[in-house]
Amino acid sequence: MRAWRAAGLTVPAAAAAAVGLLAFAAPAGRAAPGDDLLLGAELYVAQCAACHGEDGTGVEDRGPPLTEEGPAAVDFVLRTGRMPMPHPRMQPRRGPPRFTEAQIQSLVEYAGAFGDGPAIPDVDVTGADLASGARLYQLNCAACHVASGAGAAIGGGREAPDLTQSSPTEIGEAIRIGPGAMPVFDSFTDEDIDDVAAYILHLKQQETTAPRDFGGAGPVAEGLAAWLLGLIPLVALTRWIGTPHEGRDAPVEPAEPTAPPTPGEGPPS
Amino acid sequence: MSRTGPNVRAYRAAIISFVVAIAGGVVAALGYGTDLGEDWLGIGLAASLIGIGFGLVCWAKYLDFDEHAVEEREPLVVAPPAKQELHAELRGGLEPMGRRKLLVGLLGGSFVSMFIGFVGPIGSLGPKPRGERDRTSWREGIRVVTADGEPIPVTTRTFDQLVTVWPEGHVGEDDAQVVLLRLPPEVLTERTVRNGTVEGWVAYSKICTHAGCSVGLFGIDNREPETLRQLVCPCHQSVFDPADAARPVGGPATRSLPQLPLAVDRDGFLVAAGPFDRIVGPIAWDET
Amino acid sequence: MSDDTRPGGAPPEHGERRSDAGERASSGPDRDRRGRGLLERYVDSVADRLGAHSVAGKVLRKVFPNHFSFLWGEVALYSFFVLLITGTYLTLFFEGSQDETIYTGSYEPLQGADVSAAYDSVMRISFDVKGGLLIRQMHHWAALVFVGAVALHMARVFFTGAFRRPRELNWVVGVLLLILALAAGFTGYSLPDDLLSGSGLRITQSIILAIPFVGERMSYALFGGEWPGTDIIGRLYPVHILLIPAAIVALLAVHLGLVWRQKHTQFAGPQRTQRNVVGVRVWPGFALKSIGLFFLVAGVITAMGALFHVNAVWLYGPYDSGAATSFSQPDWYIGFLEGSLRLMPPWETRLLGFTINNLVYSAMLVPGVIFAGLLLVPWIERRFTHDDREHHLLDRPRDAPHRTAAGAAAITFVAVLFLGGSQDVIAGTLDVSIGHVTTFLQFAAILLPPIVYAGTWRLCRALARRPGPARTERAGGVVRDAGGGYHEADELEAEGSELGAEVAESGEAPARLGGGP
Repeated sequence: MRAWRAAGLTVPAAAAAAVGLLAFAAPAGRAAPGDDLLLGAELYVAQCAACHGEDGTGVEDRGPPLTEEGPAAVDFVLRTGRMPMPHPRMQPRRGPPRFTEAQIQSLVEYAGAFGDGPAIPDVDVTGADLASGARLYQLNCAACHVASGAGAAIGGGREAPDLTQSSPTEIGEAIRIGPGAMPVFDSFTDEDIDDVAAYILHLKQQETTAPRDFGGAGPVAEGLAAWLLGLIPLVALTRWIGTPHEGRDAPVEPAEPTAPPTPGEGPPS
Repeated sequence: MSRTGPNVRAYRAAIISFVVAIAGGVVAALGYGTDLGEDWLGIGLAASLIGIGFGLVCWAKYLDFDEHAVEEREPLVVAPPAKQELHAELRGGLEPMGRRKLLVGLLGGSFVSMFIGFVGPIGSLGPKPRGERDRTSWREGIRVVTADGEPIPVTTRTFDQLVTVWPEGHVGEDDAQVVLLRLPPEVLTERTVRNGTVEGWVAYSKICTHAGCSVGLFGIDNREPETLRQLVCPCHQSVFDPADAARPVGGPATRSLPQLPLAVDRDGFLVAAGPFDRIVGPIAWDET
Repeated sequence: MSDDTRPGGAPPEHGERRSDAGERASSGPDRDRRGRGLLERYVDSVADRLGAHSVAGKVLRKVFPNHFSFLWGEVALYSFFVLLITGTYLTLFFEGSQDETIYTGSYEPLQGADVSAAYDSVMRISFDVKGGLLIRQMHHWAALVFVGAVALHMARVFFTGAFRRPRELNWVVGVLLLILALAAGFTGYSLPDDLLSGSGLRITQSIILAIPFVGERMSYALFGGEWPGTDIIGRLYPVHILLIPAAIVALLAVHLGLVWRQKHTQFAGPQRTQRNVVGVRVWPGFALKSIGLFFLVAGVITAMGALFHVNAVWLYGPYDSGAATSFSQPDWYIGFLEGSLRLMPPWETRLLGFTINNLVYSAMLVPGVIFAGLLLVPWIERRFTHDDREHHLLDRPRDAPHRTAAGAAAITFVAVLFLGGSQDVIAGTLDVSIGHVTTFLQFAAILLPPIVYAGTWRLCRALARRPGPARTERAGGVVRDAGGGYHEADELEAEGSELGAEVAESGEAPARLGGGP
């Protein structure tokens, strides 16, 4: 709020917010391109300009410029709910998208025009080569995103997220733009992206990050499970088995002769 | 001592356990033989085993076999006279042998010699190191190619991208694996540039100098005042600075990743400008 | 009893029945045959040929003391049996070879991939052999449980002082068994030749390379040349299925034989003395409970194999130069070594043109100290207690405060190493930076053990002062002085003790609490 007032944008911001809310309430129909641009501009001013600057040139200490980005980048961060971000210094986290489909499209058209980065890739997983995708994944992605797709911390407080929640388009976008700490994988052809996205979809279908697989976290989680699900119950069982029925300190029978009782006699009572 | 309460419960528990065990075996057979699913094979087997175990323990603990019995320990240490008897017997054999010093010495020597003789075949387990570790397949002029054999044009635009590359014709050779990065030229230090970069392209051996894993993580952090770029090894979290000749900046690694000098060939593709100037990966005792 | 000269007795005459209730008058060989059911006849036919009747009787009457913690060694033993059984099944399918082949099995994402025969056979077991995945997972879970049970058992023996004379040798055998168990696990999970275990093998090769003087030669010998070579999987296979199991079985025989001969230790208690064993006889109680425990252990392991996935090698892919995966950890029991490698600061020493690699510190020095310390426990204890007597009664941990504190401190150190081995998983879960976790654990490894030592020592002393049922050898252990204060009876005898002086002056013995031998 303070930022907007400082920039003298309070009234237009309120108006834009109202428009935005109306857009939310309005039925999502196919609007003409010109309409998108207008809506996008208003949304941008309301939601993004405070950190990324009016022309996408960035604001110091708040947000980087968008002049190197493009439609894919904007679509990616909006669709995965990473933007708008509550606080500039955080690492962007995946979450539910804050805009509707129509709003996202309009913002993509508007803010995506600031830079000449990659366009939204057209990712088609039908008929993709799963084997090629697996190989590409293992060679390029597993290092950060882990063999099961579960994601991992990669140093410096950064995180490679869980891929089993991503759609094929989002995966393609990430490969093209290299969001956050992720590098750009320019050597991937469009076919490669189809294959990798198909493989990640396969991982999702295999539920590799399910509780049954301990979240796909590998040997550490498996070791913990061995203790919690295996050894601790076994120790509890030994407590049951090992403790005599009458308790350990019950008085001992008069010392048995070392000859056994003759067969047929029960234990001494 | 009352045996009715726990007895009856235990008796019933044992019956139920064994019945579960029987059912488990049947379920396991069905799980294997029909389309029920392999999960049921395992669940049936587990039920069967646990049922038998549980039933047996109930029986042993509560029903018929609980007891306190006492057994005396026999002493382990015997009285001195008995000890001396054994000592004397042992000496009876060793002393005469000891008197024949020449034979004892020669016998000892025979054993030593025999062992030395047998050591020979152990040497056949592997070749003698002949300095292969000093060399990789990288030479001046060899093209840099991806895992699919594609060469890299120097003009490939994108910065901050990571590719794993090999020498042309030697894809997949372990000691030649290289991580290729294109960084904005202004962030590269002088030392890095001197070692051999081309328009922001740098290449380092991908083999971590700590314990040999592939340094596969490349992370960029745009949030700091200046962008932070790191090559991180997933095995023990050694961190290298790709902008400064891959010198170690974190984790247990002590030596930087050897840098592969780069050049451009006539067709505009990246090539190596020479071999590595050091041994790649972790080093042995007599290497530096 | 039976007539020594007529082992079997005369064969029956036509129509004569064997198992009558002994109504006829007994005389010589006839007495042998009378009153013998089927069981007795079979037992006799074996025992008569081995001269085993009295030995067999002793075996059946042998007493094992009751305490649930004494069963942990059996849990380890039975997990080992599960490993042997499931492992044998796996050997019928596994191919221990690095020969290249193309995968054509039913797992789609690997179709057409270049894999080794070893990896291919593991994939076949997992996807194309019905029930194969279950057996494979049982085998893997059993290994994880096996080492854990060995560790628990070892801790129990340590904290109760069961390693003291005359059981020092058995302790050493036990530590050797632990090392063999670790080796078995490591060689075992490296056999599938997948990316994760392959990285582990690469690390092992680097460690061998760093061994002073002979490292390079040893590495070349073991791997048949430079890394990766084509020999290592084929060589690990016989080590894993023959050499190590044979050594384990042999040492187990010694281990159990010693327990049998020396008889099991027991906690002090009513009528339990240094010179007896109170508990359950082998037959029938102990045997049945033990067999029941075997089935329960096998059942729990089977349940885990059925319900939970483990070591999904198809996700890691075959070992490939140049590939890497995060969460790059070994199986849990090697985690202490992994932690040592991750937490060791980047120290390296150059001397006279030679390099003492960082790996020498983290992979040779640290584990060397740990295992040397373990092996020498009985003698280290003796150094401090000067106690060379035979001990067949166990201590409660609280009654040996220095030993318990030392053990707790050692476990703390090793636990910090285990945490260090998973520092990236911890960082990811807690959402903190890996660097911070690493630094924290580095300090913890040095600072925590002495703190834990001091705290544990105090806890033991505080618990020991509480009067209660006497369960320890030192159960003569608590005395109350005239003023109502509690002291350990040992204090009475200690030289220069104030309590002793008081007692001598007053001429009255202070009240003793807790019975004892």
